[in-house]
Amino acid sequence: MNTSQELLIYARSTHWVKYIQKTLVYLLIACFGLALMPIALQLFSKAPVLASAVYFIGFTLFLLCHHLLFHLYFSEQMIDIIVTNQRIIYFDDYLFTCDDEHEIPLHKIAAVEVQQHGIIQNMLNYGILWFDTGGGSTDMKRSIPHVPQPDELAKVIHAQLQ
Amino acid sequence: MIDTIILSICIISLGICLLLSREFVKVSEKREELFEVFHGNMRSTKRSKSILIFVYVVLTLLFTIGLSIPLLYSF
Repeated sequence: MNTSQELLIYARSTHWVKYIQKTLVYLLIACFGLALMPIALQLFSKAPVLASAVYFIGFTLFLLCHHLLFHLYFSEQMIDIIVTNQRIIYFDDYLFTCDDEHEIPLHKIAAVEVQQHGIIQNMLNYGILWFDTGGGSTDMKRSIPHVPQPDELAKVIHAQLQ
Repeated sequence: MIDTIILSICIISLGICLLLSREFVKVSEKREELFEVFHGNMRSTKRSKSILIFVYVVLTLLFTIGLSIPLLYSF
């Protein structure tokens, strides 16, 4: 691919809704860990060994969730949808665990399909963008999930296809 | 005994913070290089990246040191 003539048309991060599920889980565990600490302090006069063990578990759980939360933000914060005048690039990376890069040349795209299912997706205006590259298969490898304002991106791609 | 465990947790926590921040900077620099190839501008993302790292480091120090003090002095 000739990158010297390749120009950036569109660049965005996927929708913030991707953070919600994991953030809630981590916050819940962190709150549980934090709640163990005053319990441990109360227990100290009766059972010091048990109290230190409970505090240690709470402390470790809280710190673990803190790091996991920032791991999530660091991984998802970067721009992961890039459209140039030659191709579409979608990054599916997660620090230390996943480093996927999906690339679809524009000349291979026959059609772009926007999928927005359910109340939440329509209210928050995000959805799946699926690319028809021929062959008739509808596998989700040729799609981008959590696309914010997918209609707008579809228009941008359509404009490049013409 | 408990001092050694707390010290180990603190070191591990700060180590994770350092590793994660370094990896984040590395990956985002790679992304910036790609952007430069396409003649794009990532100024706003660079600023938010620095803020995020700063918040992470400050909170890690605060939580790691702040929450280990009761373990050291109370127990």
